[in-house]
This record gives sequence, C-alpha cells and structure tokens, in this order.
Amino acid sequence: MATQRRARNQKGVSLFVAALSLLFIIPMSGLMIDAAVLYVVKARLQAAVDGAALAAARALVLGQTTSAQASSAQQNAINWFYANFPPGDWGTSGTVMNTASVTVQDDPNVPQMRDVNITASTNAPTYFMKWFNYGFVNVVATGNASRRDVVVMLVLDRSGSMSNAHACGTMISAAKLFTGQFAEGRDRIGLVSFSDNVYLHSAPSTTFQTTLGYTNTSGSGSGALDNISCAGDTMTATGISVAYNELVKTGLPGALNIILLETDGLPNTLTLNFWDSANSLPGVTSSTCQDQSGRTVSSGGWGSSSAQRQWTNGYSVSGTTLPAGSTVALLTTDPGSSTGFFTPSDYQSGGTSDFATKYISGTSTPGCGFPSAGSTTPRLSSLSWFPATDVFGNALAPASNRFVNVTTDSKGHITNPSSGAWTNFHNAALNATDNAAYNARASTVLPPGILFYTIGLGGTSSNPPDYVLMQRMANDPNGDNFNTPALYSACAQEANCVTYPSQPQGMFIFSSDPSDLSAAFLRISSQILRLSK
Amino acid sequence: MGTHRVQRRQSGQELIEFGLVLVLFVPLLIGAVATGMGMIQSIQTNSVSRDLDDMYIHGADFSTYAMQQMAQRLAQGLNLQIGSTFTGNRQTNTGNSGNGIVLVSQIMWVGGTTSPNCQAVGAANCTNANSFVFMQRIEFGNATLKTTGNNTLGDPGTTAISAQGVVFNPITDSGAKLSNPGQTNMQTLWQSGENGTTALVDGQVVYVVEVYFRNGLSFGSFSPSGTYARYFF
Repeated sequence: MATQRRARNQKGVSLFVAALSLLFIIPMSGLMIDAAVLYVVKARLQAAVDGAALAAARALVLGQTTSAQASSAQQNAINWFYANFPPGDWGTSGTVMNTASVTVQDDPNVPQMRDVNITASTNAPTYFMKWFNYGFVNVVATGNASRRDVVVMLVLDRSGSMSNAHACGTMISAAKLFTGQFAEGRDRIGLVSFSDNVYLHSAPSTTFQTTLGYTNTSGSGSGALDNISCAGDTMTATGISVAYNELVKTGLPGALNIILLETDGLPNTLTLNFWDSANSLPGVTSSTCQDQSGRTVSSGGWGSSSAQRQWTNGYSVSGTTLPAGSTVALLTTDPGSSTGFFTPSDYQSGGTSDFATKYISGTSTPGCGFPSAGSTTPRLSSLSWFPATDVFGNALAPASNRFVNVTTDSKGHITNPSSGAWTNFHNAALNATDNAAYNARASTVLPPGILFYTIGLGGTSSNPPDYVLMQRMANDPNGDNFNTPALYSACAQEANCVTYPSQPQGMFIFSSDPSDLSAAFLRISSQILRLSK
Repeated sequence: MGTHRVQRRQSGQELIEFGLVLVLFVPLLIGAVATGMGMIQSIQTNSVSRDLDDMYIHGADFSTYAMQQMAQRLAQGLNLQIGSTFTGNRQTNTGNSGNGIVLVSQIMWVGGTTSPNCQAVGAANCTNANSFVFMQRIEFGNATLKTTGNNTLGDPGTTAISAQGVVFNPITDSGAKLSNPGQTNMQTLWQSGENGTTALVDGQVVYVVEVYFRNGLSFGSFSPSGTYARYFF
C-alpha cells in the first residue's frame, strides 16, 4: 500500500524537475547569449574605433594649418567609424562618437609624431538580462594611431632630354601635385634638381607648398619648381647625395625620411677627385694642365696633395666639405661608347643656393686647355685612372652586389683602359648611382634608413632609365604594377636585381611617357601616406 | 500482488517522461549550441576581417603566398583553404574547397574633373570622375562561396590588373570603376553625409577586407549558413 502511494507520489516527478530546472537553465542560456552579443558588439566597436583612428591619422595631411589638419582628422574619424559601425548595428543604441571623441596631439615621447586618440561608446542590447532590469549595457572602446611627419627630398632630372615631349613642364606640374598631398606646416619637402650640375633649390621646409609653388588651388602657384629649366647631362649620384645630406642636416630621425628620384635617363656624370690620398697618387698624369704651382706633369707637377689644383675652392656642399683636390665633374655620352669629355667644375655657391658650376675655360685655367661648356673634346688621356669613389663616398665598383661590372686596378681605381674607352666609366657611373641610393637606405644617422622611391620616365630619351637599376635603388622587389602590359618582372626574376630585406622598401614606377607622370607621382604619394601612419 | 500491479502500471513511465523532457531540452540544447557556435564564428570572422585589414593598411601584401598563409593561420578553425603554393604574386588564388573566401580591396574616391587625380590625367581623360574606383583587388579562398551578399563591392571589370592586384589605370579605365550595386552602396555609405559624416575628398583611399566563412557544422534552420564581416580601414 505504501509502495503504491510512493509510486503515485513519484508520478511526473521527472517532468516537474525538468520544468524546475528550466527556470535556471533558460536564464543561464540567455545570459550566455547576452554575453556573446556583448562580446560581438565590443569587438565591432573596437574595430570601428581602430579603423577611425587610422583614418584620422591619414587625414592629418588635409589642411593648410595644423588646426585644420586636426579638424580633418576628427571628421574623417567620424566618417570611418560610422562606415564600420552604423547606428543600430547589432541592435545598439545611443552610440556616442563625435568630434569631441577624437583628440589630436603631439606625441609626448616621440618627436615628429602626432597621436590620434578616440573614445566611443554604445549601448549594447540585452535580450534576457532585461528581465532582471538590465535593458542595455554600455560598451566603451578606445583606440589610437600615430602619424609620423614626412621629410621628403625631391630629386628631379633637369637634363636636356627632359625638354623633349614637354616632359620638363609636365614634371614640374606633377611634382606640384605631389607636394599638395602632404601636410603644410608639419611635413617637410625640399628640392634638388640635377643635370651636369646639381641645384639645391630648397632644403626640407614646412612651407614647401609656398616655397615650391603649390597653392592648393590646382597647382597654379609659382615657386622654386618653376625655376627648373631642362638642359645638360645626368649627374644622378651627386643629386642623390646632396639630397641625402639635406635630410641629414634636417636631422629628424623620428620622421619618415624619404628621397624621391625622378629621371628619364641613365646616369652619366660623376663628381670625382683625382687625388688618391690613401696612396698619395695623382690621377692627372699626362695633362698639359698646370698644377697649383704652375707646373705641368712633364715638369714634375701634380705629384702632391698640395700641388693639386683646388677646383672645388673648398666649397661646402650641404654641410659636407668636398675633399680638397682635383675635383671635376666627369661625364660621358650614353651609352658610354662614344665621345666623352670631362669638365673641371668650380663649385661655388655664388649669389644663390645653387650648387653652381663654373666651367673653366682654357683662358681661365693656366695651361689646361679644358673645353668650355658644350665642348666634346676628349681629355681621357690626361687621366690614368678614375677613383674608387666619387667625392661623396659612393663606390664606383662596390665590393658586393655591384650593378654592372667594371675593371679595377690593384689599388681599387677604376681603370682607364685607353683613350675613348668610356664604357668602363659609364658603368662606374651606374654603379655609383646605385651605391648612392644604397648608402642613403643604409643610413645609420637616420634610422631605419631612407625610404627611396624612383620614377623612371620613358618617351623622351634614346637611353631611358634601366628598370633593374631603378628597382634596386628603390629596393622594390615587385614587378611592374603601373603599365599594361607589364614592362618588367619582379626583382627576383631579373638578372642583376638585388633587394635588401633589412633596408626600407620603397617603390619604383616607370611612366612610359610624360602623360603618365602625374599619376606616377600621385601613386607614390599615396604609398608614402599609407606608410606614414 | 498490489506492488506488481503498480509496477506494471508504471512500466515505461520514465521513458515517457524522459521523452517529454527531451522534447523540451533537445531543441533548447541544439539552439544553445547552434547559437553559441554561431556567435563564436561571428566573433572569429569579425576578428579575421579586422586583423587582415589592419595588416593590409600597414603594407601587408596579400598577393603573396606567405601573407595568404598568414591569413590562413589567423583563421585557424574556420577552414580557410587557399589555392596552391606559388612564388611571387597572384591576384587570385582561389579553389573550390574550404569554408572561407577573403576579398582584399583598396578603393579610392575620384573627385570631379578639376580634382588633382583628374588633372593628373587630363580632365577629358578622367573617365572615372565622381566615382569610387578599385586601386587594388586580391582574392583567395574558396571561390564558390563568393556571392553578391559577401562581395559587396563587386569585382573589378578591368583586365588591366597586375599580379599584385594593382589596377593599372584607376582614373582612366572605366573597368576600374565599382559597378552597381557596389558603386551606389559605397556612395550612399561614404558620400551622402549621413550620421554627421562628410563626403570623402578626391584621392582618399579606403582599405576594405571582406571575409565570409561557411558554417562548418550545420544545425539546419537552427543556424545560419555562414558568417560575413567587412571592415573599412
């Protein structure tokens, strides 16, 4: 009887227990779902804030003053935030993200760095917790991003071939467009142009848009860029070294230091010193030129350092005093197998900041009979060798990974096989230019090195820039992403192409003709701005 | 004797009660598991999209196998299968296996004919004035999963695109322009000035990563077929 009662009492107990347990299980499940929703909302809010911070940092280039740039950053942060986190996303409400949520300030610890800090919040919905009087949960996310100031030296080719197909004017317009992409008052841009001379138009300056000629009104302003006129040869290595010196003098290691080289031809001119101080040897061995004491080679002249004619006058090139000696700008016609000449150069600052050349004629330099400007009289027989480096220390025959082969003697000089054999020198000019870029990228003064960008221009010269040389200089491992069909392959697939993973990776763009030059400049500016954050 | 009768009446009662309990608990259990897994996958998908976009804007080149492998590692557990091993660059590296597809895009707003980008090519040649254009597009993963729902920008119409996915002539090539509905969607999102936003100016670039992962374990109508995430950096 008792058993029957017990059995009756137990009838439906399982259901009762199950129903009772649901009172706990359902809220717990709900709590888990609410927690998961909160987690998703938090993750999405955080991502939106991160995206907004990065966009704000990029937008710090928009505006002519630092306050206008800060306003641009704030507004763009809002733009990006709501693109990623629209109102009502995942059932949220009360989202707070406005200009007051975004602060822009100089980094207190890192010079040449601006920080963007963002705090945004939203109310995440609850689906089960609201039964316990928690209608929503406030979620907060903070994010920050930084933008390094940019210091750019433009190194522009003003050689004679640039005057073909209106390339000179197109280059000036394109360079103006380029400067318009950067933050006036904050970034710095300077300008060097080169032919068979190098012109320092402007050291890196925060007023670059005014100085160089961009006014943010379609580039109609006038400035140093407009002073470029194109004629002469291609002293690329010297242009790079002068630009590098300007970056060193500016001395902002916290900034993104950049050289942007534009050229339409092969380097064919170097600035060399024909006194070998390491071996106390003169390079001028058979010239009829008189040395500093008025003696020719045949009468025992040119045999000591002090006897060398001081063609440089000790001119200080951008803070680097050229070594005393018989420094000349030596050039050869492309591609190095035809007539060449050397022109002794007297680097004097004169009344301008230009790295001016004063050609020495036979009348002004005793006994030399050097050709005046424009002459192509060979003078190769006056020299027994070319030095191992140019006056800036760029190697004409680097010990490793040299771009092209050159012959050297036991003292490391570049040999001068015979009169008229200019190919060796021409190759040495290519190597020195490659090495100038290498030295800039490997800079320990401005760690982690200079970012190097190169723009090659076709359609103006019968000896256009060498793709591989330009890839090497930019340290760009990629193939052509600008022309269709592609004009060159990835560096790894090109003979003699070498890149250095430990050095900053830049970009090479080849503009097939002047009409693409502006697009090439803008492509580079876009890449720089991507990296500057 | 009475005990025997009771036992006979009760025989199978537990089974019936257990069955009734199952009717309540099994859907609850499946629903909880499906919802939980869906949430986890959603969080993972968002995380993958965000992380890839962060890497992308900082210069990661997803046209290389090494970076695609990196994406694969980030998507661990989601079964992202990239195509075959390769050296160099590939704009698309897709197959038809795995549960994920990744679309990496760089789009830019091109202003009017007087904007710097149009000036750079000449106003008369500025085919894509006042439009969003593809600057770069890279795809990897399972191509069969790509739909209009998870490829909101559409595909570049141009064939003038490099192995790195870089569009050669984004300003002048009409095929570089985002087609509809992607163009309309992006203009509504970025240029309409909603929610206190302002229109982008010429040359502003948006880095977009879209990812879609099919659910590896399906619970039928209890769970969605997959999760999608898109971020603009």
